[in-house]
Amino acid sequence: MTRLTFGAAILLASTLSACARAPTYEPQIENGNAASGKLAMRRLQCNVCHTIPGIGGTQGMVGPPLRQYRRNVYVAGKFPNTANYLVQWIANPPALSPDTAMPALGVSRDDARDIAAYLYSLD
Amino acid sequence: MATRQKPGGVKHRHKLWFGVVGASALVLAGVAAGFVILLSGGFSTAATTQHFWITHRLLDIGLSVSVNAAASHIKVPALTDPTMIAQGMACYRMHCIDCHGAPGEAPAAAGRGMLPVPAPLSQATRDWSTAALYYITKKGVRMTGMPAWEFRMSEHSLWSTVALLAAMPQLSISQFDDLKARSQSSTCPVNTVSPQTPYPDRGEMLLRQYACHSCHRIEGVTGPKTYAGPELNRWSERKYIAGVLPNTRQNLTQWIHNPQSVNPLTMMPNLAVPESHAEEIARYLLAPR
Repeated sequence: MTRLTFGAAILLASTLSACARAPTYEPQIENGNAASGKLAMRRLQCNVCHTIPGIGGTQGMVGPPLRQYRRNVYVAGKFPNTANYLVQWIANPPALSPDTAMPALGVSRDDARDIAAYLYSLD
Repeated sequence: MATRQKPGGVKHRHKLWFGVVGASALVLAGVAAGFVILLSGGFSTAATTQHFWITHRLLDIGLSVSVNAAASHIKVPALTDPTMIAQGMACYRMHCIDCHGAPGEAPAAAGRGMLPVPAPLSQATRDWSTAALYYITKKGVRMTGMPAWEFRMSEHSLWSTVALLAAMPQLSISQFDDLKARSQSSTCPVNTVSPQTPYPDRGEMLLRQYACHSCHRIEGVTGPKTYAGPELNRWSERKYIAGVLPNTRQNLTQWIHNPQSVNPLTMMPNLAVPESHAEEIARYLLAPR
């Protein structure tokens, strides 16, 4: 009984503290569709190199895991993680960073926007 | 064989139970009250709100007991050599004076706004043994602003700093300033020796002491919810460092030691990790978990 009460108190406390720490930053992609982005990521097989929640199949470890991507401060360790940079990066990584191991996959601007929207929906 | 109960034994046992239940209820009520105060926002984390008197005294006692126990086995070398005191002055000028001030010199802005307030070290030799001063300087004091200098100062630098602390109460302002002026050309050598702690704790300690976990989430390393750098979970499986360099121990060591030498545009700063320590951190990160 005592243990139960204590457990309940901890549960309550952690729930409340989670509420108290809710992040206020909500990145947005204009004209980006997260559902289409998810399909595009499957089609382009982004998961071969990246671990991406919700994509299924191989969970690659060649590139960084993309969990909770909206929380990341930087794209590729070099650029601010804002809509503009992220879309540019997905569309053509070597254009931003010539020595990167991430290849240009010929992703269209529309796909890049949708993929960015999907990544920003992960939390 | 049936044991015969003394008259009043049952009653006595009842009393015991009552006490246990009562004590548990009190503890629970205390914990609950603590949570309520914490989560209501009523507990102030502002550095302008002083500790209670009792909190101060309790923390003082805890610090004193813990430090003296840990310092009791430390052998103190001779500390009266003037060159050692001069070396200590270089360290003091670089690392201590901003928070602790000096004879006739106030602490810098940051040192004046802290809670607890950093102590003036002219008094330190009266409050602490020499071994304790070395221990505090080396290991820092958690939940105060006092950092561990173990990896920012070599063993000799640490003892030199303590040598200066020991000499400080006897120094006039002009003697202190003269010593300080003469130390301008000296530096405070850092520690490049691996700590005695066994592996893998050693790797984790080094990783913490170069503040890796302030920007990276790393499995097994408790720390803040940080997203400034990429997460380093299952690092051994990753193929590239910073997206450009094959993930080998040698490359990772070089990256940790000097990120800009690999990728001049990276946001990862140079944390002045000596190569010997960078290699230990690389080994820790590359171990499969």
